[in-house]
Amino acid sequence: MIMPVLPPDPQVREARERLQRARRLVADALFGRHRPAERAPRVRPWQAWLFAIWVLGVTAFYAAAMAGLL
Amino acid sequence: MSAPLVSLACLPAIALTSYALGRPIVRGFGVGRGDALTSAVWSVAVGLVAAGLTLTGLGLLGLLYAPWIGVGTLLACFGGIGQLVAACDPTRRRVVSNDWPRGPLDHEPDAPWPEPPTWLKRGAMILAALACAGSLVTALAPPTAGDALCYHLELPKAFLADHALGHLPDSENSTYPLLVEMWFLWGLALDGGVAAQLVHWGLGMLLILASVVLATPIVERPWAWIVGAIVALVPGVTNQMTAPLNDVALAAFTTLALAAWWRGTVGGESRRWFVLAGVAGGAALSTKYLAALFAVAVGVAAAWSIVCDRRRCRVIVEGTAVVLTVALSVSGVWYLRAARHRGNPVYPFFSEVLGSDAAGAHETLPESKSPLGRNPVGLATAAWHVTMHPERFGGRGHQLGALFLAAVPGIVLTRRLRGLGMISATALAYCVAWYLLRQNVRFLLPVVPSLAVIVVWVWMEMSRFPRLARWMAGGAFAMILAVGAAVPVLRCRHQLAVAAGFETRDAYLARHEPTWQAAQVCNELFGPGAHLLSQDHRAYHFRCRVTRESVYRRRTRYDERIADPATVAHALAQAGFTHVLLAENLSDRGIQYDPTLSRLVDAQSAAGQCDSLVRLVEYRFADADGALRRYRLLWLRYEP
Repeated sequence: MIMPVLPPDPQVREARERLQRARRLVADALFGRHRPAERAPRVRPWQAWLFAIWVLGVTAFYAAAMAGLL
Repeated sequence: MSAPLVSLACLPAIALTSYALGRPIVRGFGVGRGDALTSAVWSVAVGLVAAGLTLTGLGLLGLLYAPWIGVGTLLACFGGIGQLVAACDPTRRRVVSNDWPRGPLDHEPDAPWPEPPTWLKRGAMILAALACAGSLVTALAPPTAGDALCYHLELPKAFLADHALGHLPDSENSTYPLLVEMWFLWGLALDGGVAAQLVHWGLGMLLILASVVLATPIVERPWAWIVGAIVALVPGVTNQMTAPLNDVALAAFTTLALAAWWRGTVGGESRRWFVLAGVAGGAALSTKYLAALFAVAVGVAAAWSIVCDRRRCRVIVEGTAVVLTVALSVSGVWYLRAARHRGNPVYPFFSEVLGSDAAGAHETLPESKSPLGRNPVGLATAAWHVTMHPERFGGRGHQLGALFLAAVPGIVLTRRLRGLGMISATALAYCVAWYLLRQNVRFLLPVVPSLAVIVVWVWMEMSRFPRLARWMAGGAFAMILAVGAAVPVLRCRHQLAVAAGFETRDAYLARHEPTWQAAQVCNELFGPGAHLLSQDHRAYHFRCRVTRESVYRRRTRYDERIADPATVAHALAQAGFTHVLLAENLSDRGIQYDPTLSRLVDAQSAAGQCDSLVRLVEYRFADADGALRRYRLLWLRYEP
């Protein structure tokens, strides 16, 4: 007679998943690859804002030029 | 209803045939293994070059017959399907990947940055798909673009009718590099003008995918798709994809040449990449003289690279030798042909120096082609002017949009990225050369993929911005991209009916093509036996032989030999013409025609000698550029 397959115990499965998550967390902290983008220094705010204003300015001027306003 | 479907079916037939021809060659070189996209793009590109060279050879031998081309395409098409099935077969792929050594870029990329967010990937892809679909609908309408009807389609039509790649003395463009026109001839042989037009749309798709291939080793594949999407959203690219011209084709092959050159020099991969760079470079040189300018720009960037790192000297010198040898082998036939017929391999340019028959008629560096002059201030402000006033540089339709002016300056805020310097230096050198030679915005298309890579790197580096600044700039970029998608979608509304088969092509042409009515009359009354002298250069829709009046006049000075106004028809008939098409612009918008022939014909009519000038049709046409034109088709009834 074939043994019926028992459904996994939800409590056991949950505990196992928690353990796996914790293990991944520890492994990532110790051996994980730090992405340069994450640890890279932030762009100086005034530079970033200057660029954002430039982008907005070009967009606005372009829209005006295409509308025949310039 | 079936006409658009038949034309549309020609595009995959040509692509599959090219794939069938190119895949064995690319596999033989052993490059791009493990990367299906790179392999497929290169296979189609190399196959297109092989097919173009084959058609050129057949043309030179006088063996250009449409049925042969059709049968050959059909057979190769089945071969292409077989190759495609083999490439998609997972068992065969595994064998291949086990047998062949992998290149440095074949392993799973270990990107040092996160992938683009899903919303960005999906948004960019949806916008790019909309833009491509819009341009496809427009490309499914019969061709009406001026340059296309003047020579991009007219020449292959004439070659196909003559079954040979002959010399046409009164068509200045007939001795240009004509590889793209050979592909248009392929489309004409299979179906007609629409299929030829779709070939250029397909070359636009090749440009987009070539941009992905170029960007992949620099920013990794997920971001490289964003590069491809940006290229697809450039208004000038989608506009060119709707017409059988050659700028998109040029950009596709310069991009592939640059991608292969990058792999060989910066990527340090197999030297076989230099052979492919030579093939792509040769195809670019066989498309337009402008490719030589791009080669110079790559050379300048390579020299700069040697100055920065002497260890690269050897590989760059060796690579240059290979690339030049292969490129000249691929493209040489066109330059030899021009030298033979015109005495100038780059006719009509440098005629002042080389002394060919175009001397005086053409100036290599005319002031009219440099709206900004040639000075440092103009150079510094060129990007602004080209973006804001593209109508001064060849027309709004060909513009690059605001994205590059807005984003590229952000490169000064980013960190250095391996390989970006080389393509940035190439783009910069090309732009300077463009400024010094011909300031036409569509001639900038070869640097669009390089600029798109820079834009994507700037976007990636914006993750280091303060959140609000990032969102503000990102919002502006999103708007620019949305406009890039909206333009081709809105532009195709006039072509939707004919593309879907609800309107006949004849009815569409009657509404959109100024010469259509005259061509219909001429074709129905006289067929291919007539010989038309035309003031309008749009000759494609005439089935008979068409000679451009301006070129004929410059070559023969026939007008100076007509002393008596009453003998105009007699003189023209003696020269072999059966008809004349007079075109006049009644408005001050659009191109103006030289009035010499109209004046001569009117003088004969005024002299009372109207019997030998029979007016077949006369009409006015309000063109899309706002010009009102008057056309008169006259039959030269001369009985010796």
